[in-house]
Amino acid sequence: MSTFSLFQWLDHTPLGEALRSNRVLFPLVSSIHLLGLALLVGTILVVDLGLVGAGMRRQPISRVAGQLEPLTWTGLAVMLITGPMLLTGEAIKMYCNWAFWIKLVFVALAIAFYFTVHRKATSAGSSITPARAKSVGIVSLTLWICAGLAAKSINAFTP
Amino acid sequence: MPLLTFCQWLERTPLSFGIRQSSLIFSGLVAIHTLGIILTAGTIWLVDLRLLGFGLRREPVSDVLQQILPWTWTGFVLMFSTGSLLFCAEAVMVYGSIAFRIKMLLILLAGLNALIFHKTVYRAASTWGLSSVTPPRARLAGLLSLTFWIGVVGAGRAIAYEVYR
Repeated sequence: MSTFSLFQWLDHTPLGEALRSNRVLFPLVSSIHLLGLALLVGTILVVDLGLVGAGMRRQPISRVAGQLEPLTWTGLAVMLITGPMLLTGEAIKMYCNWAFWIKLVFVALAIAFYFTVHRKATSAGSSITPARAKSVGIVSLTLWICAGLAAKSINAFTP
Repeated sequence: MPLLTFCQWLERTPLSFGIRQSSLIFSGLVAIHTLGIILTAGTIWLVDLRLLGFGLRREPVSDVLQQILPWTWTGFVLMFSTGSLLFCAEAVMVYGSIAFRIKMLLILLAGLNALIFHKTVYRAASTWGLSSVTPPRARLAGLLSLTFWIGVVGAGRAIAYEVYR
């Protein structure tokens, strides 16, 4: 099955139809998507700023990251559930939107980075140098901000 | 001067015209506005969740608040400045939006709640702030703040759908 026919199928699912016909449903799900983002970004930001040396400096970063991890995961889960839901509402439109594909790439990169390098840098026994920690924080922040900006561009570049 | 007349005047200013004319400037402002609100709400929630016993529960409340607050303000300044410019651009349309009025009301309530919290319970934070279980009034403030800011994000989304569809 080609990607396009997958998107066509998504567009025709009952959920997709419902999101398009109901005036309240789409803004509602998109609000929940945004709430997930705020939780995800809020928690990651504090950890990243800590790595850069600008956030919570009084606590060891591994301690902060450990306590915030469940919240980050909650935010991520909310986004990964509501995101594909929203996609069914306008799958074909998204297929033709290059900002959408750029967003997907950044989201994939940001998540991959979070679960690998970022996780290692903020783990309890990490012996990372301050300079390295700083670059990990900057890369993570950049990836998430780019994902957010690409997401916002989706509407701006809709033909 | 009635509010509507003011909005109509606002829309005729060169600033308002300029923002409306350029879709790049307009979407740029919307993007920064969204980033600002995410920064504001995201960081406020961390404090709210701490008050409710989630997240940074092993850190003193004052430690969490003092270190995170500068970023909340950064987000708020971004949100407020771009929000004002966006309001200038479409003042009359936004004036008629019920979601916008709800959003303003919720921001006001969130501000009042934060003010009351700071002036009352938080004053004694040195005595209760070390425990992961906070006094009922602090928990109430956290819950209200969490709810108000969820409402702000939701109402903000609703403006876009109410006005542009």
